[in-house]
Amino acid sequence: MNSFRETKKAFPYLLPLIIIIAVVSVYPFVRGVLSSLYGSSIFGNAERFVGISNFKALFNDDLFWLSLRNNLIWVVCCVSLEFVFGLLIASLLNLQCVKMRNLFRALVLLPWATPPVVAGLVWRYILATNGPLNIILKTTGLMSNPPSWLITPGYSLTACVVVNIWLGLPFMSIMLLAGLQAIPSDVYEAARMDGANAFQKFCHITMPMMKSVIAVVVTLMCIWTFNTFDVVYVLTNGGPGNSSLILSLYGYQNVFAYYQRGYGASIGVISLLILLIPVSMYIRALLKEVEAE
Amino acid sequence: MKRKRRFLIVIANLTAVLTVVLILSPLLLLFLNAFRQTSEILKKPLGLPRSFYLGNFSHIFARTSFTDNLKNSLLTTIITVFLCLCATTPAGYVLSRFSFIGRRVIIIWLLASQAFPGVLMAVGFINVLKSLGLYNTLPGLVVLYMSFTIPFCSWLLKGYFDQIPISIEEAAMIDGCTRARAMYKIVIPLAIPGLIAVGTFAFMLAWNEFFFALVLLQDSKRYTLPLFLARFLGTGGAVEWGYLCAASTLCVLPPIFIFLAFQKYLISGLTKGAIK
Repeated sequence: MNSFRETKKAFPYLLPLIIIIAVVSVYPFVRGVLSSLYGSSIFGNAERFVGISNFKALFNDDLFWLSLRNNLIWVVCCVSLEFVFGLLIASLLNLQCVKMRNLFRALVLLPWATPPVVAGLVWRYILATNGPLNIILKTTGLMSNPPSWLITPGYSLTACVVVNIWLGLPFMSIMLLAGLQAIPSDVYEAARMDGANAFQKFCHITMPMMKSVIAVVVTLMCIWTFNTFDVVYVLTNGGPGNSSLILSLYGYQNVFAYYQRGYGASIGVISLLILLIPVSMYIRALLKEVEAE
Repeated sequence: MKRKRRFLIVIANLTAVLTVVLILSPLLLLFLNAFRQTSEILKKPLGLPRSFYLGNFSHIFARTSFTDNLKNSLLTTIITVFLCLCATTPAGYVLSRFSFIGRRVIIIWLLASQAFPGVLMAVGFINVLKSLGLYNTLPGLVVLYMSFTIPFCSWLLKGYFDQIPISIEEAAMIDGCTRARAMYKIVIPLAIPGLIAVGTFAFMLAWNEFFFALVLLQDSKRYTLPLFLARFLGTGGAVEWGYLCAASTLCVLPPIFIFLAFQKYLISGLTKGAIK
């Protein structure tokens, strides 16, 4: 195989992609990363090179550490709960005995199509002090004095997590369902003949055969969840008292509210460095298949 | 044994129905409240509409920038979807069919760009857009939307093209068809389900996008719908839930219709193409 000849043949098809990626992805990315090395000067708009002092400042910034902590809690809670509930929903919709499975599947997916801002709005209403949720909790006697979920420091981040799970659950469920459906039924049949119970089948067939799907979906979800902005912005805007501040929000505030562009960009760079772990896992999982071709 | 099985089937069906109702209840609440007055919503948060009240809708159309913002959303989304399809079709094709130098690097970039924080991209973009006169304009927003739709959609389409046997176009090329013609006449028609999947995905991403719109668009006439909703919610004082629910309903219906119409393609496109 002559890969140089191949490249020449591919070139006319490749050129538009390279130009577009260079203009809308590589260039702004590089500019963004570089601007983390600049700080605003006291003289007007001009920015001056400050090296890594933005990162040094971040290291001593309590709000940065708080938002980093919140961000990690946010990702771990969202993705792990989405995974557990997603697997339950996928298993339920994979049962032959459930009537109207296709209709249910379509309906369960609807939150996926919902704009996150709309989801935030609706849930802000549901979770309000005198909102529907608290009324239900009171009338059913589950909680005599339910808190104001969004404006109480201990609950605000949890409330955001719940809403984000509502939004992310459909994608997780449907991908896991596709994984379940790809397992040939005769494997289960054979296990049944050998007298395996449901739990054994789950541990020794379902999980191992879903390994690659789970790896891709979970890492992808971690990446998407890590950078979430809209849900938290609409629900709490990081409040009350920064109790639900996450990195994307803190970066946004620095760049567009405090006009600390370099400082905000350095928060983005840190996010990216943390994301290198799931991203490399994600790419490796997907490239395995590319290379297998 | 048989009775136990029957019992389990009933339980499974009931759980499924309950799950669906629970998941859909927020949207249902939204649709119902769109037809109620704010005072009524606040008095009885869980009540049903007493009559087919359309005052909320007439208010947002007559008294707010909603109509303009709806147009902006439609325009931005349609142009993004169109440009995304034009750009990703050859991109997916070339990634699927050629093993050129640097292919691996490009694929890694496409996948890695999913992780680029919005803040970083916004900072990188804003000066360029300002100097091009695209700051605070919808064309500028389309450029920003290309930055996150094109990478993932190229990857998705590549996966779809991989499913189409290469022998079909090779046969056509042996018969004297050029490669470009073979792609245009044979591969693209076969990839239409994939193109629909990509179009649906790009539609939902662009329609629902909020962060870049918030950063780029400054005056209310140029807002897209999510930005309109967020600003309407946050103008301080008492929240006008009736108006807000009506506007949200209109904002959520287009993606839901598109989604219900094309979800079959979207799901198979994602599972075959991007996730596997």
